[in-house]
Amino acid sequence: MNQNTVTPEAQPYRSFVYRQLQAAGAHFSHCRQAAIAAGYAGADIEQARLQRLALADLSPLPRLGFKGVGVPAWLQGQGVNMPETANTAVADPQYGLVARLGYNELLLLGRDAAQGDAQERLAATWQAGADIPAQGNLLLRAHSHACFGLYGAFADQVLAKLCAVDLRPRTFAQHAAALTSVARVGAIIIRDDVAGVTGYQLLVDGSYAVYLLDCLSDAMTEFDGDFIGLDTLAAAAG
Amino acid sequence: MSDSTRLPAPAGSLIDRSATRTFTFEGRQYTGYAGDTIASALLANGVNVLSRSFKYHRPRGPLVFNGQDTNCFLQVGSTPNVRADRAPLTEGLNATPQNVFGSLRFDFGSAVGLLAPFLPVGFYYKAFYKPRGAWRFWEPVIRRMAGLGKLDHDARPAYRDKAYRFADTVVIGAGPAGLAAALEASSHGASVMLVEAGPRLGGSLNYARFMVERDRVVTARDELVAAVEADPNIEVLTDAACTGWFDDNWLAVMLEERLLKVRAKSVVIASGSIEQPMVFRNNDLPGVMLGSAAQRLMREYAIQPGRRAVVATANSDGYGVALDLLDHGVEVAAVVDLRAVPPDCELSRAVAERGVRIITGHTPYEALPAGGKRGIRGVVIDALGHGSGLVAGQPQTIDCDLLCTSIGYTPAGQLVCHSGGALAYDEKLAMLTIEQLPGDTAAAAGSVNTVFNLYAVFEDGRHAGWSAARAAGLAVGAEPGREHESDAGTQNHPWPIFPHPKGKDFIDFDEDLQVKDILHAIEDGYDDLDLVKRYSTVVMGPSQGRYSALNTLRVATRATGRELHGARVTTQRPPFEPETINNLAGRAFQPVKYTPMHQRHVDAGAELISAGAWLRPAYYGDRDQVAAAIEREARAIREGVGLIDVSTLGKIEIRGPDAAEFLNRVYTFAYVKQPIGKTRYLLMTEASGAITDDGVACRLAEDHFYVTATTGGVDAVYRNMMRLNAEWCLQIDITNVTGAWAAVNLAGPESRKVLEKLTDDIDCSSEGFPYLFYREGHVAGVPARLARVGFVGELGYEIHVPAGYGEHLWDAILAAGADHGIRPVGVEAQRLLRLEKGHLIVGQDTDGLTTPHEAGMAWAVAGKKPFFVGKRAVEVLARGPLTRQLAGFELPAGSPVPQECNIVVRGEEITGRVTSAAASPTLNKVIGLAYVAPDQSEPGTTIQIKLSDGRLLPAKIVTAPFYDPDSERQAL
Repeated sequence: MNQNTVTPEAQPYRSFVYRQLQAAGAHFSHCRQAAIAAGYAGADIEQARLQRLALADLSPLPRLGFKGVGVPAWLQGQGVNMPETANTAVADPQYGLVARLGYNELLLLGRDAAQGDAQERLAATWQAGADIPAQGNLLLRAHSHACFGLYGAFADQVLAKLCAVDLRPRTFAQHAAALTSVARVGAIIIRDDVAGVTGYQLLVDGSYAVYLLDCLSDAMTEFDGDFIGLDTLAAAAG
Repeated sequence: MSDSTRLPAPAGSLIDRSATRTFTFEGRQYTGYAGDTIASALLANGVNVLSRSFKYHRPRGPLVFNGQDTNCFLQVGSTPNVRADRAPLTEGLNATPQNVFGSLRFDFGSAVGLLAPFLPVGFYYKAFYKPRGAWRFWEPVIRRMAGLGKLDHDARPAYRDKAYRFADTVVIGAGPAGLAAALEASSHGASVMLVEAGPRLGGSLNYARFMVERDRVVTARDELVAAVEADPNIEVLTDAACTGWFDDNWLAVMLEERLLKVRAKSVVIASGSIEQPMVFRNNDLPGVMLGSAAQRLMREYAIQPGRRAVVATANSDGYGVALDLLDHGVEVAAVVDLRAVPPDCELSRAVAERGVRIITGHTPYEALPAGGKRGIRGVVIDALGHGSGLVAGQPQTIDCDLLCTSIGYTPAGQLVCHSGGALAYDEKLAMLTIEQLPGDTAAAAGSVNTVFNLYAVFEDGRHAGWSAARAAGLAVGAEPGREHESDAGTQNHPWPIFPHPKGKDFIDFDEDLQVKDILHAIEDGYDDLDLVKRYSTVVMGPSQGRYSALNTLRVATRATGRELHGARVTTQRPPFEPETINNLAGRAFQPVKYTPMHQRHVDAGAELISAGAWLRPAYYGDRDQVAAAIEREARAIREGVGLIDVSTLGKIEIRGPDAAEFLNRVYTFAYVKQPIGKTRYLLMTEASGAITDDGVACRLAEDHFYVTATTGGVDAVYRNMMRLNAEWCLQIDITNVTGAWAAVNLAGPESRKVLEKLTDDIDCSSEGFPYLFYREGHVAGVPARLARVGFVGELGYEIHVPAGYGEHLWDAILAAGADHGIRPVGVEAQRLLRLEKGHLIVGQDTDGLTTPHEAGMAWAVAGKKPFFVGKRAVEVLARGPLTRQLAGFELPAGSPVPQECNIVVRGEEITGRVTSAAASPTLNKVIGLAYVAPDQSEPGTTIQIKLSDGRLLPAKIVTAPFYDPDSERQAL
């Protein structure tokens, strides 16, 4: 990912909330066809935010979905590591975090450009149409959904102001997934800790991204939460 | 204020004497300490009258001092009904008394007391409704007299929100039982939420005596509190009132800043008990208070409640009160014990050893008012007579300025009743007890569970914690044992009610109700407790019967000749504690959807309108030049090129071997033979034959369709599809991809030229990409799906791109179209253009009953298909005569434009209504669509439209489309 004078409006893919990130002082780096918020403040400041309460816009990261009868077998045939049960996720080194939202519905959350390239090849294989299941659809999850990362000691308390599901770390385990409602909007929540810090990936329909960001920001205020960029997450993850 | 008015430390455990607070009450400035409540600070300054009573405006002082009665209600700033005995004192606070006419000291409203004999219970039901219309005169008078503070209509609410919380076990109440229960549940691995209404943990351990050596109580409290605070499994909430306990252990917990919606696997209610007042003449005067109130004042706020006291009691706690008074420098003139032979106990022995006169078998019968009824100067006691509530007629007066009463308790078990539990009277114990808990995941502990001996309370708490952990599904060991007796049978006097011939023996302090009021209500025929409640308003005041329900139950049950044992109090409903509307409202979530191009519309000066959850641009330009803006945009598409954001269109993918068959069944048209690469109109009907949605189907492959639906209808369409295929089990998968694709309609005679600039892999010529065809390729460098459409009646392309590219596409098209005078076009112009083409909008030009034949859409019904949803109804309806028909009408230029839903009339008969109408700049006339009677639908017929102002407007029926009837322009 290349940094320096990268602007979202120069890229064809634009995060649903890039203006809000710009207003918060983000600087951006390239991630394939998009600009992703790399940082806002100094590394030390953002590391402290990560520990306490931090929000990252992960929308420009690669994402892909498949849904339909025969999809799990096909993905397995493509070498995708996937969880055996619904509402859980596993990490796949090639494609990213693979979440099983239903028995026949899979979501791939890439963490970097390389995983995005791998996902693109997978999508191209599907679209080529050879030996794909008779039913099922390829889902453009990078476009249909915005993705936020919420991290820190207070992350579960922020979500408790918006969501009726028990997402406390003691009950909502690492890589657990929930299809639920957040601030009255349908959402996918996946527990995804970073370097021992409690974390959640939160996906909502992209058209609700600005609205949800407003709700999250409001809920974070009492805990002094703030934005962090992808650089901080990458550094923490090592 | 000087320190001399306060008791010396260690009294005053809640106040910080190093931090003073200045405040104003009734215009006078006072000072108190941090940690004071407003009421304690006033009392420390010698202000012992805090309010005036509801009806008779009698002076009232601290009675219970627990934030649960009206005696301490004050107006603070713009907030009425602040419980001054609970509200913390803050710097600069400005409080005023409520319900006074004049001042708190001289309240002209007290003259009402002179009329008391003429104001029997229910008087306003009888007196103010005759003659007819009298209520309109009396209502404002009575409302003013009944004042409980004043709302400030200009006050701005503070920010409040809500949050969900979860716990294995919620413990309500952090007194000795609650603390023990929380620790026990936690020890078994439960996550515990401990909810305490007060500012600190400990409950009665903080103020009650329990035993002669109170140091042992303090030590026990400190150890328990320290253990709880150090336990990572226990979440402690103080100043947190549990206001409701609903099904499945859904608990409402009110904090200052928010409402918590708590889910628990099990609940321990350890809410304690409420000390009960006695009933005798003038039992409401300042200077008469519960023993626990005096203990709170001394121990927590360092307030000496009086100088010379009488303690009336019927249990050992009264002797603890006497000891506390003595320890805090109050002379105790006598302990008056209602029991003829009190059982021996260490507390009574200690009182006797300190030389206090103990008078047994007697009761207070009348408190003697001091000047202005602002205090008492003595108490008349009498020996108990033969029969409950009777005295022997041997009065004796004891001078005092304080009368403390400790005659028993009632469980604070209202929450138990919220979700199916029940309280009932136990005559043996002379108190209400929990007859039934709300399910097997609930446990009760401590005095709410009629356990009073402190050691038994600890045991009861541990047992409840163990039980709750087990109910939460945790592995627990053996059931904890019990060694101590509850002492429940020694707490309550069975009849602490001594009516006086002169009255003022209050049974309900909130409502100024005396014993005779209850009896009169029964005499009036209201002989059920719930009827007595409604007629007399007993227990309906702000304290919700905490201090009146028990005695009312006793009086009313006896007066109606019913059995007291097993009798239940009136229905207990949430909230248990006061809730502010502000907290209940909290932050409201109102989802709003934005298209990827939304900010571009805002930047271009769009006026936005709602379309479901979406915000869409209505038009671009000033509000005061709407017509000009719409005309400008319409002309751009008719004469050049315009760009409409249609991202809100519903989009659904259907893929599988049976995809065409599925569409064939769901929509009215035929799709099995639809060629790949072509589009086809979709019309959906429900089983009744009524139109429910429309759209376009693009066939991407033999087994793959991309389908659009209306903005407002897509969610229902998707749900309907899923439901139908659950029945049909066709081999398809259906996915709602509305959010995944941004879409624009590039329309106008110049649109092809603009598109050609942006693509190099799509043949845009009329031969290469004809009308109603579908293509895939790249536009502005991003993958795109394109359809030749004609909704606005011009050459046009619907271009769909993955949503993340939406703004990029918008920018690229506007840049490419700049040389062609391209304009962004809003919803209003789009509606005008489609109306010119006679295209209907489902939901606007149809209603819940419109059939395809009525709407002139029979062409979209494939009659030869064996089945589609609604086919049978559509065919049956088509065979019968139509009752209405959608038809086009026109009016000369300059005519008023009818509004949607203006009716079409024929004499007295309503034959239809207008569904769409607009002034068309292209056609230079007013055009519209309207339902009319079938015999009015022939072109050339004149119909009468009744405008909103009542005028009749003749309009001519014409054949739609109004514009380009041969559709040559869209097929260019």
